[in-house]
Amino acid sequence: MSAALEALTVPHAGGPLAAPQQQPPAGALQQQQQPPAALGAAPKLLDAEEDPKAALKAQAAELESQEDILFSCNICYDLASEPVVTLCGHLYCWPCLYRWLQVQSHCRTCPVCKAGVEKDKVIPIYGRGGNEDPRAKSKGEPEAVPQRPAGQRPAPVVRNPLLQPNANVNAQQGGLGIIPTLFGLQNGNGNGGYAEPLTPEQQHQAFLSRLLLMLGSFVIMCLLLF
Amino acid sequence: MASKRISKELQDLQKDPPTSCSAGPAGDDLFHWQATIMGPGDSPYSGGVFFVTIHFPPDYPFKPPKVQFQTKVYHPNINSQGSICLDILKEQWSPALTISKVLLSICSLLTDPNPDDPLVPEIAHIYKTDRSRYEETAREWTRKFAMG
Repeated sequence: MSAALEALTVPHAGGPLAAPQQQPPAGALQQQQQPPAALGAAPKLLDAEEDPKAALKAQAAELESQEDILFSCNICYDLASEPVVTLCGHLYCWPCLYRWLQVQSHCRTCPVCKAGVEKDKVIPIYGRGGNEDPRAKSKGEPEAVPQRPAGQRPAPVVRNPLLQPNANVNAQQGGLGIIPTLFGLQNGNGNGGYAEPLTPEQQHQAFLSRLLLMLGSFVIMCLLLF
Repeated sequence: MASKRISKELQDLQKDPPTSCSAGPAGDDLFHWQATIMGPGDSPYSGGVFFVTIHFPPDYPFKPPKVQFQTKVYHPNINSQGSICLDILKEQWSPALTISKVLLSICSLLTDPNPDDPLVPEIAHIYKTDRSRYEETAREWTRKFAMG
């Protein structure tokens, strides 16, 4: 990371600092081959060339530490390990937040903003490299900290109403499908192509109305046939 | 964890020191700090330099640090032992707070005493009933104990 940053920043930030010399390393070598009178100047140049490098290193370190601050836990001030975010948006290590919630007996609040915090309502953050061996962790922690709560997985929003799962279900219902399809599609037509996923309650209602329709048509068929 | 967090706070304090106070370890022990607070300009403590000791508990930052004045202060919320009556040092403590924020809070407590939750009821009473007498005594104590 720091090496990459350095590589990125060297030509840019180093420009004005190194400007007076304007010599590639090859040029410096040539100078060393010059008569002894000029030798005195060469080491000086080399020294000066190393200075901006050191400054850049410091810059890179600072950038890195700024990044650390952005993603550091609000309790231990370290880069958050097993990061979780509260509903109020504050980042913590899961072990740190868990311990704080254990310490607070009467009223569990966010350390930063004092909003209410519940253990199973924090959101885990899964980065790229978070899959450490949990056994390695249990050695360091004297108290057993439970697993982070799992993330919620809401159904994706479908843009095309024809591809909506409900529409498929209706199509599969065969002979009785025409009328229920009208019912099933009503929420897909309302908002210009975007279909909100149904809540469990709505699904339940849709199921009931379909069941009633089936029963009604069955009764009518019975009346017609007998 | 406690010592790591304390050294991080020390780093931050050195990198970006607050204007009216300073703090750092008193000796080799990272859990025992010494701090100074400049009397706020708009208070009768103006011009005084107040010494404060800070003890970090082993389970810092889950428990608040113990902060005490070493310099005598005439204040409704600071008693003769140097104990400070400040909510964030007790039930309102939060692990997101830092020593720098605590010292700033003490500064504002010096400017704005809280006579409704006093540690020294007599001073609180004088503060409420005879403000000029309170200010005069506070200035006198500052001259006597917090200067030179």
